[in-house]
Amino acid sequence: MFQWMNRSPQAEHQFCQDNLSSFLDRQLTSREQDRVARHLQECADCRADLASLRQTVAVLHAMPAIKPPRTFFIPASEGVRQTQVRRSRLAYGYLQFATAVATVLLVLVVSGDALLRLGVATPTREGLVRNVERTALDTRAGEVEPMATSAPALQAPAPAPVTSGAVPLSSEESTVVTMLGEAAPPEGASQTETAQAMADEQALGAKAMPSQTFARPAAAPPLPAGTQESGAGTPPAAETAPSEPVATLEPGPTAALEIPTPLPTEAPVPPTATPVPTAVPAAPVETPTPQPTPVALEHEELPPPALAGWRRSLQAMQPLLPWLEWILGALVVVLLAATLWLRRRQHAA
Amino acid sequence: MDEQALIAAARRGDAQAFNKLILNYQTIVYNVAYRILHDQDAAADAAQDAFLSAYHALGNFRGGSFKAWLLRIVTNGCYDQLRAAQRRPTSSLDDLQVDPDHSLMLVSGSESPEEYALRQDLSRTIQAGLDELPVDQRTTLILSDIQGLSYEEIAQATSVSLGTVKSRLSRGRARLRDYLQGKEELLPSRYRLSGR
Repeated sequence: MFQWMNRSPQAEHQFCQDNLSSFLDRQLTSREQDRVARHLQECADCRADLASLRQTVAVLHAMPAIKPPRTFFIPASEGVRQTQVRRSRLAYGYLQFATAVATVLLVLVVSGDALLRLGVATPTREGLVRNVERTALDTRAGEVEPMATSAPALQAPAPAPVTSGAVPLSSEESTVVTMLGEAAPPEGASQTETAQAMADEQALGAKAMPSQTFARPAAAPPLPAGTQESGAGTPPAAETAPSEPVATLEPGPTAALEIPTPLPTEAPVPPTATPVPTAVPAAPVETPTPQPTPVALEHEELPPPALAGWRRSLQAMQPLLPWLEWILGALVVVLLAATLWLRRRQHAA
Repeated sequence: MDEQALIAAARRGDAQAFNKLILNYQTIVYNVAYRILHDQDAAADAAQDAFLSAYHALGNFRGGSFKAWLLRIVTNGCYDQLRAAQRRPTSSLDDLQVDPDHSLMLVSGSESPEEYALRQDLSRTIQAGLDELPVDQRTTLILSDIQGLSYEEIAQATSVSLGTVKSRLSRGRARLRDYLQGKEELLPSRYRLSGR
């Protein structure tokens, strides 16, 4: 509270000199006012400065007010002009917004049209058919999958003729069979599709690998009559009477087979030859199998509803897009010109 | 109609309402411009420009003291004119002659010729002392000690803090006092600064 007693007289004098003007206008805090007042009682120089300062302020206060040489009224037209300027600014803002919106729409329409023309948005017919066929195959495999549980019963007799070592297949044939067995369609696939798949695989293999590896020889090696009969009759026998495969292969002709076979397979045929009986369970599915083309058409006619609607609307809009581009382009040009004209007019005003 | 209603009407584009505001403030606006510029025509131009600018910028007025807002516009205009004059220095012939229409001589019709002469001398001396001050101190001194604005209004009109107003005022008064003490022979006896 009595800190002022500890301050030096020089510091008090400086504080008073710095705050004389504010002291005169009573702009100091009460404590500062008291501090300056206490120093003024002790310091004659500061009292003289305060008096001269007060006189200066009095001189300034005595300065007469000057009457303006004229009035500074603004004309009434300025009010009208001000209103016009305000409206013009508002219109300029709206025009800028409309131009931006129209430009964005134009860019969207042009890019969408370009995508449609490139075929990104609408798949081609070939692509659709390919997808549909793949979907049909997958669907059918899923349908036939439960039947695989009965396959062992059908496949069980099959090893019998194989293990007898009397399978009259050449190495090429076994290779083909192996390849077919690896690339064979699901067990439920029909023979038509299997044949189609084989043809496709052969066509692909013919391009990728030497032809003699996969192609069946034009002239098959001569086989004994019994073997040919048994070989030709194997699939029907398996199809018709899978439970009695041994009966179809008689031991007599089988023994005779071992001599004339051009490329005899003395060793037991590896399990890769099992595709022969694997075709057996396909037989029951053969009759009700629909043709792939009607399936594809049927699937093409019933795409997902949203996709169908989108495709229909895109196809319907596609002829209109060039007109829309022209209209939007003209609109953007007109709006841009109006915006620039309004801006120049505002600057001129 | 009060000031706020006039301002609202002027904002809607009513020029007559704004002219009523001009009638209220044109004297102080012109005086501040004249004290800063010390040129009648320049002060009149600055006042006219300030009122036009204020009318166009009424949308930016956020309340507070309308007088301080107007004075801020006119002081900014005066600063611009002073900067332009520094780039192109000219001398005004109006200051060399007595303008019979100028209000400096017609403030009061009841004063004697001697009083008129004394007042004119005092005004010239004080104006010369103001011209010696830096423009920021001059403006603060004019607004405070001639026009009688409060510290807060000065701070708003000059866009500075209260502390800056205090320091500018203190330094400006001290410098003007020193100037006037050197010209005591030109001052009337009652205004002579016999402090020291």
